[in-house]
Amino acid sequence: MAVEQGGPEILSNLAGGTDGDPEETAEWIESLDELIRVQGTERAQFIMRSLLQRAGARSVGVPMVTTTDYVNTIPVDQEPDFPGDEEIERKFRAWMRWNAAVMVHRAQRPEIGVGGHISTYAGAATLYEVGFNHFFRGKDHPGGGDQVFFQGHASPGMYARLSLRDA
Amino acid sequence: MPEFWEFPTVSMGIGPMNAIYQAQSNRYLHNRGIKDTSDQQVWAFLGDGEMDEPESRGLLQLAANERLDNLNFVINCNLQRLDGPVRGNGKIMQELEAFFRGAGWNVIKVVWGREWDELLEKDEDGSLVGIMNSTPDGDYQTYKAESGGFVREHFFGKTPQTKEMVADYSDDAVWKLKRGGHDYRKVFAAYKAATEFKGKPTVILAKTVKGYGLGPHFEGRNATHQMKKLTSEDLKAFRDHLRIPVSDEQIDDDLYNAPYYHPGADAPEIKYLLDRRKALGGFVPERRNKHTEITLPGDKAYEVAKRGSGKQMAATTMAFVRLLKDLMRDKEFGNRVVPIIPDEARTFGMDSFFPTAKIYNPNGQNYLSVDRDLVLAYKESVEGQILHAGINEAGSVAAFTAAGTAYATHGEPLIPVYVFYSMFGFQRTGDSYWAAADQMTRGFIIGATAGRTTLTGEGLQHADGHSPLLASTNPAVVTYDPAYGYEIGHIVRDGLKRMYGEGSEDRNLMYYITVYNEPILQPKEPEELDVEGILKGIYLLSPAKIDGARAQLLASGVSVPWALEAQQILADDWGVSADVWSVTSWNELRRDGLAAEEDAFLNPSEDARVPFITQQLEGATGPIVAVTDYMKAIPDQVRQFLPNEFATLGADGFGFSDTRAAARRFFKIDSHSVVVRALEMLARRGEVDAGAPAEAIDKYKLLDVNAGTTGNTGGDS
Repeated sequence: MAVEQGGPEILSNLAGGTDGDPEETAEWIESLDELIRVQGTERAQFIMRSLLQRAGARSVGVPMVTTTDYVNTIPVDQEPDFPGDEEIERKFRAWMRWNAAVMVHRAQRPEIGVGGHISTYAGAATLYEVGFNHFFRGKDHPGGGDQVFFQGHASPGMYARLSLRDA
Repeated sequence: MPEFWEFPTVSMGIGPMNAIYQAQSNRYLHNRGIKDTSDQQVWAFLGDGEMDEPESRGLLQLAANERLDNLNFVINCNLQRLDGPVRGNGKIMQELEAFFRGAGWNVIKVVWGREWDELLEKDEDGSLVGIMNSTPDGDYQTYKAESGGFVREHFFGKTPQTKEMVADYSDDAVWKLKRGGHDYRKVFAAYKAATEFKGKPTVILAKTVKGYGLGPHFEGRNATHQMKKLTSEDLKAFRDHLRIPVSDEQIDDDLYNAPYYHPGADAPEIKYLLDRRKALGGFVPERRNKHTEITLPGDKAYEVAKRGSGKQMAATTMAFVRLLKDLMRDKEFGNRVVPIIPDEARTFGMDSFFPTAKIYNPNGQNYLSVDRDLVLAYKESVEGQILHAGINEAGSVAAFTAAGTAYATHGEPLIPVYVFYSMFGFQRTGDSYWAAADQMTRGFIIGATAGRTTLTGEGLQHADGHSPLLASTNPAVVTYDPAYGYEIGHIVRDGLKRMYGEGSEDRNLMYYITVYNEPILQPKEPEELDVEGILKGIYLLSPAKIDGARAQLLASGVSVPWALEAQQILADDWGVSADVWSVTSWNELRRDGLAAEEDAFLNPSEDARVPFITQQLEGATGPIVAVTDYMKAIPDQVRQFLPNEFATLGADGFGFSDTRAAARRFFKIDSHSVVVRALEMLARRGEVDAGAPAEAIDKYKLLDVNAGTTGNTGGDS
């Protein structure tokens, strides 16, 4: 993933930065000019859009292009190795998902009937678990820890984690 | 669970706002040298449906402008909200990608799980990506509520190339092509990239299936959010899917008592889980209450508030701002004050803070300021103390919440003082104050330009006649409506003691103080002041000066001078002897009265405690006229605790665009209306001449709006 420096695009011009090879840049611009001259603006527009789309697909961050293809932003060859033990993590994630669903389910006994949501956490368990196992830093971390805003509707999952941790 | 949840933000849209301002607050603490927060990150887990709240998207630019790369949003894009698809015909992830990128954020999409990698590798002519790009969310949702065969036919079957790609996949293999948000590797890669990215906040858009793994009754179904009960069949299927060692009998014996699962503390999985948390610095979430103790300002800071304004006129807003200035000057305490202003500093006279305290801006001031040569120049600075939120009450309350919880989040108390137009407080951002209370926020909320007739000429949408009533609905809010600077001094001092003082119990309060823009003569503090009365809500300000038929005048805030004038007129024109009480808090008097009632209700065999207001007015005979620049319901809160006849004059209705004097006459809350109302009640008791009220109406031309004289014309707005 390219690391972008500087402020938001709305404060910078489109090209930005310094030109490492002005001669090459000039050739590209000349080609575009020629294309417009020979084939007209409509064709030039199509070529430009295609190039922008290609740039997005190749993870070249291009300002003013607001969407990219409906695929992962991080290309497979740039994915880091997963540092955890996936099998173990999956195993206790399953227990959490079970305990979370059972907790809400139990609360539906007719004489209790206190509500709660099952589906939000069921679908978000991985998003939380990767955070819990690899990213969210607690208050005893030398840096002071992170601040995590959880979705209220996913709270059964947090309680399920508590149930595994404390029992 | 005050030791567990740190950021309870369930009301949709408040989480995103508060997370942005939490990230800002971390940087603010750092830049001002109060705490090193350089290795702390803020994570906000949000829903794609939640992003339709304007609050969710409306403050994104702040995070970009301040380059809050310590902030990560994770939006769980399950494509569903409560009733149906978020964007059935469109693509919410693409829409959010464009929106966030346009706002200046770094965007990472996690659309597909690893099973798709091979297929995308084979997609040389772009047919597969083409289908991915053009398939609407409604279809993606349906696929996951159907089957592998359905996906083969309706998704891959769209082109010969894609159909061929999965020709040798079984239906089960097609079904198991997962979405990115369920894949550890893909999610890990995204989080890693997000935390390492510099210069911008990051949003991760993760595609998931709502109700994932819960079986065909739940997965991707429109009603899934509301579904709480699992049938025996659902539970067994879910158990099998998750490989939970629970038997059929254990489920069927008592369906509503299906067992939880725990493998025992020695299980390697539990050890792993605990080791991970240990390596990362302990459990999350966790809320810690311990914080640095601070020394509160001494007498000196409150001296000016006691002095009054001499022969000059001064509004209570000015009196408050002057006090705030003195508090900020306190050497030990002053730097913890966080003034928060949504672009009305000049109205409140707070532009005088600009050159010294400076406006916080993490980018400094990189332009030549137009007013650089003026004494009160607009100064922005990395170390600035003032949080100037712009015309942005929602963001201001989020900033207030972050600063007002720093005592717990960072162990470093900050004292937020949020000053704004009172009309745009509880009415506009009431939900945020509710969340702030839930998060145990502490601080001062200053509703300036208060009153329904005091800020006239800006239309009815500026005329606040009810904010104390709205404030009364929030149990954490202590509301005051002071009349004079010295009252404000005592209230603020007590507020600091209660919220931040050593050994104080129940510190989780927010002080709402209404102040006005009408300049009045501010008296100096009386010698024998009833401070307890001020703090509890009522004290005798001006006892009657003559003998005669007795009446009691109760007033608060800007209406106190009207009651004093009425006292004079009643004495001079009608020989009536009236006491004037300043009611600093109708709301607190009511809470005290209700608490006394509750005590009596639950302890019938003991002597009932007498409510404070009943005690204060014991022996205060004669009918009561209560007058306020707010609606009548506000004084009416104390009616049941007083044995006297009780009449209320208030400004019910939308407002009245005219001079203050005319507006007060229109609502019948001006000095002469108080006089006539008192006469009318006394006449009914036979204590003044029966013709006196009618005579007074004629004498003061009470029905003529233009004949009103209560109030002057000065003050900023």
